[in-house]
Amino acid sequence: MSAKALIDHVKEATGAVEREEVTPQGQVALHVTPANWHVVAEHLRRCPRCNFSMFNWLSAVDMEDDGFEVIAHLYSASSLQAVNLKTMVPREGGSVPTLTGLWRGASFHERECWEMFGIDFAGHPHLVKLLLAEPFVGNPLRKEFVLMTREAKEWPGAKEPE
Amino acid sequence: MTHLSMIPAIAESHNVFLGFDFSNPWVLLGLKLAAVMVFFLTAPLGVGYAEHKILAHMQARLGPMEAGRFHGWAQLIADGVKFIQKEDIVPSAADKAVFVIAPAMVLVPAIMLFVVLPLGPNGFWVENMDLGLFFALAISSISVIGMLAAGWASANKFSLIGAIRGAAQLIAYELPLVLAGAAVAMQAGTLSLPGIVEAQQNYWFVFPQIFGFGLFVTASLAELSRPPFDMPIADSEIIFGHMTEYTGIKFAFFLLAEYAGIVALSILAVVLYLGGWQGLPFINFIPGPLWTLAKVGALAFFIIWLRATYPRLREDQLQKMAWKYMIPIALVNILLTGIFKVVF
Amino acid sequence: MAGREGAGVAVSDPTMLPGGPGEGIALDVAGSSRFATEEMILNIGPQHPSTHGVLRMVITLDGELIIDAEPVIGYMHRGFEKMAEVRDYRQIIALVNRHDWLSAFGNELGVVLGVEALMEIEVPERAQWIRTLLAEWNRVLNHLMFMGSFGLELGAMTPMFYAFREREEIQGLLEAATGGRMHFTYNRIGGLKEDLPRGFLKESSRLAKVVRHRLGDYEGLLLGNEIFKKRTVGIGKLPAAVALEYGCTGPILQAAGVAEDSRKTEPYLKYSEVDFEVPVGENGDSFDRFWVLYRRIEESLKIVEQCHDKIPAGPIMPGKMPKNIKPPEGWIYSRTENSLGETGYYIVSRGGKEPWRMKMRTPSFSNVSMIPYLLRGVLVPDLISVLGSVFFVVGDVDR
Repeated sequence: MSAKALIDHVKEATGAVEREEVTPQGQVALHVTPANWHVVAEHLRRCPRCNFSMFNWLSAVDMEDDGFEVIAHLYSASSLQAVNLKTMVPREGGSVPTLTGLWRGASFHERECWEMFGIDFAGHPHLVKLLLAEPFVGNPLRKEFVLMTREAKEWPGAKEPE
Repeated sequence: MTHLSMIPAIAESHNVFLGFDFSNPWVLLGLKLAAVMVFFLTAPLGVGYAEHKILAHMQARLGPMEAGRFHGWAQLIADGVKFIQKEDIVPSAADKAVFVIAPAMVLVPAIMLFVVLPLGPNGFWVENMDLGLFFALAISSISVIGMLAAGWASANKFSLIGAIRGAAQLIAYELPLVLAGAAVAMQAGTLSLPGIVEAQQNYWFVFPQIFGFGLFVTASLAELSRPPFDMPIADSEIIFGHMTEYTGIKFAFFLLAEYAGIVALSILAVVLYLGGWQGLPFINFIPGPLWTLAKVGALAFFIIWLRATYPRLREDQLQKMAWKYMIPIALVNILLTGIFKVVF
Repeated sequence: MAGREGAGVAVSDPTMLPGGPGEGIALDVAGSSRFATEEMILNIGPQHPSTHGVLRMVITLDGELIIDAEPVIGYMHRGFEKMAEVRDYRQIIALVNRHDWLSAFGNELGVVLGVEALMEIEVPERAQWIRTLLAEWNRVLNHLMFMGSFGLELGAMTPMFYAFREREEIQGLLEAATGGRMHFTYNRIGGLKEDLPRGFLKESSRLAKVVRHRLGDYEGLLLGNEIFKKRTVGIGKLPAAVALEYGCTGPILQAAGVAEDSRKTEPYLKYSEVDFEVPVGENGDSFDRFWVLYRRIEESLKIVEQCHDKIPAGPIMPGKMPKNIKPPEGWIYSRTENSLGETGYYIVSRGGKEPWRMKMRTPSFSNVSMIPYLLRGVLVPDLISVLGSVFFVVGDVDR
């Protein structure tokens, strides 16, 4: 399925795609609202035409005032097509339904996203810290969490070319 | 070497040699036990060094080269000195009395085993018991208790798993060992070890008892926890099994017992199957003990070779092999031996 | 494994529960449930000879049977993604060498390919061929390491030494070209740091012949070995659908029966111009994973030999590159088939010389998340066999 065909199919089948995006390199992104996150994901998983059976990764990007953009990258080994499912959540109290019911592999990725950004994944069976130590406080990948070593001391490497 | 083999002759003639009165049986016994201790302390070192070097050359490397200047011959002596001067650590949660006694429980039977093993003709042994074979196999099975004690007292779950595996394995493989030995005893008509060697005048027992030989060597490997049967010590899984928490001289005792066990069970296999000190008929001038040591060396080489080659069997596969295959074969072996003994 | 589900045992992650493989051993579960045995919690790691680094598994055991396994990771978390946000792209190339340190070249490739696609830079032919060649040598290095260590965990000591003997020679070769034995930092945005030294291709062809010849040792010592087969055939079976759900890629997915290899499905560099196969396993058990590894080495050597003939003369950088690499605004997900699986970098650029966000998709992270699925109903020695066959590097898991 080509990128355009995929986008049209998903829009038609779910009616929940807010916005689509095809980059100059041909990569596809589907923007949905957090409420429709699970609906669209389920369609992508279950529909035999789409068949996005491989859960590649899930993460977020700090978009400052706009909130966090949560991205789930899915892949179909049968049609060799990849799709980025994106949604925006607010900075405080953002919550996205979990995808662990559809793909078991989402478990680790959602845990990491939760601890790094502070985004809640509603319905995740075991949302505890994955990579960070137990007593760690804060969400490191947020932009307001500064990298202390860089704050304390300027990068000691080669001079920056201007 | 020659004056040792002259001891019985000297004793007969009531001579005094080097200040010792050989007609006194207590002196004789004391000297023989001293000889056993010397052999016990040096033979495992030889096998250990051979293992270092043989494994190294099979693995495209050199092995010890520094200790003692010439190809690292003193490596194990250096290791011994290192172990003696190490700090003696007993884990705080360990059962101290049992923890300390366990290495002794493994070491003492290993030493006692050498008392009955004959190395050469004409009294080149410490004690010729009428029940020699029975004594040897019985005493070698006491070390299971030491292994269990070490694993339990260590207060470490890995040690416990190792000890339980070890206990199961050693008990399972006692049977094929004993049954194979029993077939040899039937063939020779005696349980005395020198007697068994004497009975191999015409042909070595390995020929009629080829299956028994295979069983005996395999079961010995399992008794010693040597690869491919080293599940109890599987060092990539349970660190070092029952010996995990041991350091210093206690650990050295365990290792010494293991290598002494290799030597002892090899001598036993040589005595039972490979003709003991009997050489090949046309090379009469080589004395008996050298023949024994040469055969033991060949068997030790084979054991070390197996370590370099095979991964280890899983515990349940090991148990299946013992109970389902080796014991029936051993029983059939005894049956056939009995039949042939009666018929021929 | 019928007596265990819902036996009131608290498992760590309930999504892992249904449908465990549990094959390989048929145990008397009905008999053992008559005895009130206590479960034992055993910690494998973080310091353990077999866990390829600081991975900790908390295992609930009944005797030697595993009821539940939870991997505890993060002991080596260094915050790569945060660090990447304060480094410019040249520094990032040096940084990404270090998460999957056994396939460092492949990691670099992911970053440079992504940035080059964003900036629409045309990489010269010679640079692309050299990149292909070195990437395949890196793959051989990595696979040799895992072949050796898998044997070691099962108790076979010797293949480890043979593997390292081969690796020494290959590392010497790569050091001649890049200056590094493990962390290469040879790629640059647009091409390479410098050209290959004189005599490199000759040495590389000689070495390819030698390594191919010595591969026969592994076949005898491991693939054909009775005990090895007993320890690995039928152990840790991974069905293809489950592998895909967990996001497993690389040799593990190929062993499970899915021929997904981005060198074939989405060719990058010069992979569309060389001839090679993707080995696919049948059963998805540990033996198949090992076999796939062995076959991948053979195929990589084939690619290496083809590259020798096809490298053209020419420049390795496309003219004068700006000192400050500033990709235009946008995002890209660039993936390469690294030795352990699919390594991908999701780079978000806002026009600066540092990325706004760089998400590293590492193969080991997904592979390790799959371990609890493989481990239920399995004995402790098989745990080691499974762990050794699920290829991962802890730096890759934790970043």
